[in-house]
Amino acid sequence: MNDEIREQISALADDELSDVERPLLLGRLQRDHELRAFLGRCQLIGEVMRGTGEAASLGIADRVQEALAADAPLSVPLNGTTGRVAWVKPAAGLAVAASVALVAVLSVNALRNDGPEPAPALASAEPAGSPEPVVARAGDSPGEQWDRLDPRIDKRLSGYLVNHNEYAASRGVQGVMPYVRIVGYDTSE
Amino acid sequence: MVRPAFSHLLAVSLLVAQSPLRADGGDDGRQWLERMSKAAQSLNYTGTFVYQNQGKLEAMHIVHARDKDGERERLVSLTGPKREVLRDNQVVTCILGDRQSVHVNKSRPRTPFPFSLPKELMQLEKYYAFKVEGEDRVAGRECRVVAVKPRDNLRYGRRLCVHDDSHLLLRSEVTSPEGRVIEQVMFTSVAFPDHIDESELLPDLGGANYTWQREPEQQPEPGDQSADSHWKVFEVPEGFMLTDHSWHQLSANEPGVEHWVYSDGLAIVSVYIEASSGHREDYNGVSHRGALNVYGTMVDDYYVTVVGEVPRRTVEMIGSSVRIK
Repeated sequence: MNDEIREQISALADDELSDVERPLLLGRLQRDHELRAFLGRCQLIGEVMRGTGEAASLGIADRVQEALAADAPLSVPLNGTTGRVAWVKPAAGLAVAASVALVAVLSVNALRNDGPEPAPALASAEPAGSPEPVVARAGDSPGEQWDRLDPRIDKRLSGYLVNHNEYAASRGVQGVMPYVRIVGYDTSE
Repeated sequence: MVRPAFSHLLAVSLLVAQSPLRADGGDDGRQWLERMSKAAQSLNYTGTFVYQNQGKLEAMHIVHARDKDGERERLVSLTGPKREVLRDNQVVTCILGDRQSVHVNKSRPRTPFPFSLPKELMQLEKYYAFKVEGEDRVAGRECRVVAVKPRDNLRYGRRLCVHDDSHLLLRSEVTSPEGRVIEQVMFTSVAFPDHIDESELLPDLGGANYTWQREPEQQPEPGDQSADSHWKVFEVPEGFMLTDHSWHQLSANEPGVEHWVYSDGLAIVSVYIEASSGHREDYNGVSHRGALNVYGTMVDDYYVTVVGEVPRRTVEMIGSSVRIK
């Protein structure tokens, strides 16, 4: 990491990076865990100096709010580890907000977990005697989404999902999470 | 003969609320979760939040209103495909603009926390450890962090941040058995207006020319007794209990679906069994959406599908044990 990158990250942490430099650096941060960790440290240092500490969620809320006021559409690669590119659509400035928030969230995770972006716990064993899978093979990398399925299967699973979520949402500890998964999943994956 | 175990449902809900009491040597944790549960149902609030899942991030807006007629809620995507979920005391409507489809299901009553069955409380503590981890700040507001950690690798944990003043859940993380964050929802701004205007609760998406899947009002005969079923779920993780068993017709054009619901007090797993209705396709494998894992398989001419906010190994374990009695 050279001094120029350090300066840019420091400027990003302070929200002083120019509109020209910011999308380039955000794209690079998506792909580089070391840079994300460095950004996290910069933000932590800044917040410690301001007396807010990690309790301020690494400034995500304020940064998103500030970015919401802007209206600069931006596309960023969201999954650098697999080489796939998902596009954040410009929606009234939220693209920038989401990008900044994403980097910040990734930085939080890098700090908390001391590793790259998190992956779910996956079983490695495929059930014995399974025919050729259509949904996704057990043991596949965690990238298969329902959106890629045969439309008939997809329709069935969507019905189950909506029904299950209403059961899950009726429990007090779930909050809005069940419906968030319906609204928030990415069909470009 | 097993009736829908509503007493269990209520009891296990309490377990979540009660367990921090033991973990912290005080009732602080229990009180925070109880307040959180009530606040989610009783507050007027509007806010913007982000949903992060495996490197992807989406922004959403939520409006929640509570008046003498009950709850109303609207959740709308701000990034990505246009989607909305609207809920009131009667129905839940999911409008998927990118698919031009609308799902309408019956709304279920929200489960409160103020019940106590010591036996089940002790049971939940066998599977989860509860801890209040201090203060944090989300969306510029002070909140209390409550961590729920699984004691085995068959369930997920939670890390919740509950607003000090309103007791609204401001940040919710689902964590793997190893403690990694799988997905999280976090408010970036939130407000608590005295009054929510009707217009804020109406959908932007009209749904014209969309495909509608409406859960019929007339459902199959209750038959909510597992002894009446030809099917049996032979294996669930220790601590999971049958909390509901019924038949649904999810769409007027679809055959009925047998539905089993299991819960350990925190996680909920659904098992759906549906006849293949003629054109049978291969249906074996797993998929996921955030922390929600799905396992599908064919048993004879039936689709067996397990859906739950549990690790992949758990839905596989349950799904592969479903057989005709």
